[in-house]
Amino acid sequence: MTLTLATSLLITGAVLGSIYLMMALGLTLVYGVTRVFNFAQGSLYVWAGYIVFVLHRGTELPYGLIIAICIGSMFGFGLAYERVFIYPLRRLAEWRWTAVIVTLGAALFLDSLATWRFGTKARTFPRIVEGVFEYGVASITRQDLLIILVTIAVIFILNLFLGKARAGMAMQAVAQDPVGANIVGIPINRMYGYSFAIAGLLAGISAVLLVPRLPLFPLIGWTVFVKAFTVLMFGGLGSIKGATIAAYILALIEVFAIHYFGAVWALPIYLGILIIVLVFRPKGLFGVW
Amino acid sequence: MVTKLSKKSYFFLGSLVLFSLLPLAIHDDRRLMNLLILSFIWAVVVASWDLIMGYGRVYSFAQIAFFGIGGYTSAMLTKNLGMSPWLGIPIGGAVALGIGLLIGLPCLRLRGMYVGMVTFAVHLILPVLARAGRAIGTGGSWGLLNLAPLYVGEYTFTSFVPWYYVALGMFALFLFIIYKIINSPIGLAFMALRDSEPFAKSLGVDEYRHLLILFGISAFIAGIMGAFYTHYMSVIDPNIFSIEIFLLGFAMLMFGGMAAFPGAVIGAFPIVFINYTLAPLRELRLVILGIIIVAVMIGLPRGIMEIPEAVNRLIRQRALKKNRGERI
Repeated sequence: MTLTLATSLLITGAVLGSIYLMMALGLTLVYGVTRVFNFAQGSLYVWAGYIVFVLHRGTELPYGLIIAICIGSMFGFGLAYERVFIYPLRRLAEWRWTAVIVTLGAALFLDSLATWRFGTKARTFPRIVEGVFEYGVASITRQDLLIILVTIAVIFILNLFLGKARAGMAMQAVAQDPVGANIVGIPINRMYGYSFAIAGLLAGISAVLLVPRLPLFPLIGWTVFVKAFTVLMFGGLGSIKGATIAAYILALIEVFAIHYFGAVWALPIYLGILIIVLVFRPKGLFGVW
Repeated sequence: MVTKLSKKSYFFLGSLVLFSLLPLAIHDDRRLMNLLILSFIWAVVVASWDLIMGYGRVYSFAQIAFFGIGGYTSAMLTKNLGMSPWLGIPIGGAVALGIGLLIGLPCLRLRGMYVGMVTFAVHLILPVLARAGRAIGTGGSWGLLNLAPLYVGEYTFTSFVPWYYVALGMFALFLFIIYKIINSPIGLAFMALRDSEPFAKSLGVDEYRHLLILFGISAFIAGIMGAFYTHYMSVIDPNIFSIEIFLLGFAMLMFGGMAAFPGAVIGAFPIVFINYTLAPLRELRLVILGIIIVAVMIGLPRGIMEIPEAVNRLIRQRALKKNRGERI
């Protein structure tokens, strides 16, 4: 294996890992705070993609503004999503059990709505940055470099938010003990809403970065979603650290497996690793039940 | 309790008699016959799904996968090896059972959401395998066409009437089996687990073993019905694993209500009919099915069987409000 090849595989692995991580973060954050597994995370991604697509095609707004609108409105989308689909369930005794089923129903609903409105044709929109960045033997498109950098920034900001900001600490408190958090006066409902809103925001950022690389159609959300949840099962649900480590490990395994054994083997190897991890450590590397 | 059960079985026998007499009146109505046959098939699939998801309280999203596995197995055996469908259908069920156990063995030891994720991953991988599996005889994206119909002696099933009676027979048989399972020691074990998990476990109820049995049975039944469905449609393609079919079965289960035995069965009929009526709306139909799922889960989390109870509750709450003169 030459140095150039090794570097290029490593870079591809880092880009893929960042993409998987971005998708997994929204899922794991929501699960950590509310213990609801949100099957509609992929659908949020798809809708974020279509927001950019429609604005880019239908209006003359500058691209930067479109991206800002998309990410901002996905924050609202997440809030609304929680309000419509999750909040009304909270009066039930076993609402978490029901909520998972409702998120699956909501995902199917949002996907069908996208299919009905936009059709199944694959769409795309332009990259944020064009060109290739080269350094020695390493070469990477600027968009891919942006994906890695944004992901690192998101991880950093998210950790800072959860560890230092009042709202973030309140979310952690709700995650640890909802009843206790409620007693000390933390508005649980608002925290639940925020966690979904942040998940929406992350879906928005992923869509903006990823759609130019991976064409958009209503069911693409599931492809992305499967990768994200594989990462989470490996890393453990509800843990950002676990997701970060797992995303990059899995991406590197995938890249090297495809290089040595061919693309057909990527999925079986992926699942094989997953089953081994689950047999020996059922809740993943750093998971909570 | 005893009178309640016999009331249910009278209802069951009564509807069977009614259904078996029905073709006398409607055997010329091709649309209605077709919809009833589909309803029988779906009712059994959904009732078997209810076993694991409603009674077992496990997120199992692989039921349509087992349905499709049964269908593909039988289709491949009859099409590629010239096997009789009468043999292909039970083998389809057996293969679904085998794969079900293979998934269940590592998976059912997991808790909560992890089971849901693994089973859903299985469902999402299957269409990919079916499309790529031309070499093992899945027929790729086109699937397998012109599958052998069922027959008795020299007579092959060409009209709807024989299909109707075989479907009705399977409907009766499997619903009886499912009913018996729910009221067997296995069903009792799950009732105990649901009421108080630690207590049931301390009395020696082995959750894993019971779940595995339940998972296997429900995979087997779904596999058989999938195989039967495939021969009835005489075609199978990767679309059997599509979101659409999943959504359809899921809507029936939610509409009928989980862990409320005849509920899931009763839910199947209206959804099959609604689905057919909405067909001209094309994509919008799926949107409406999605709305039904979400609305039913939010409004009536235990499905249509809960309606009388919900109405009662509403009336009581109204009365209470009036008496207290305040909001509740």
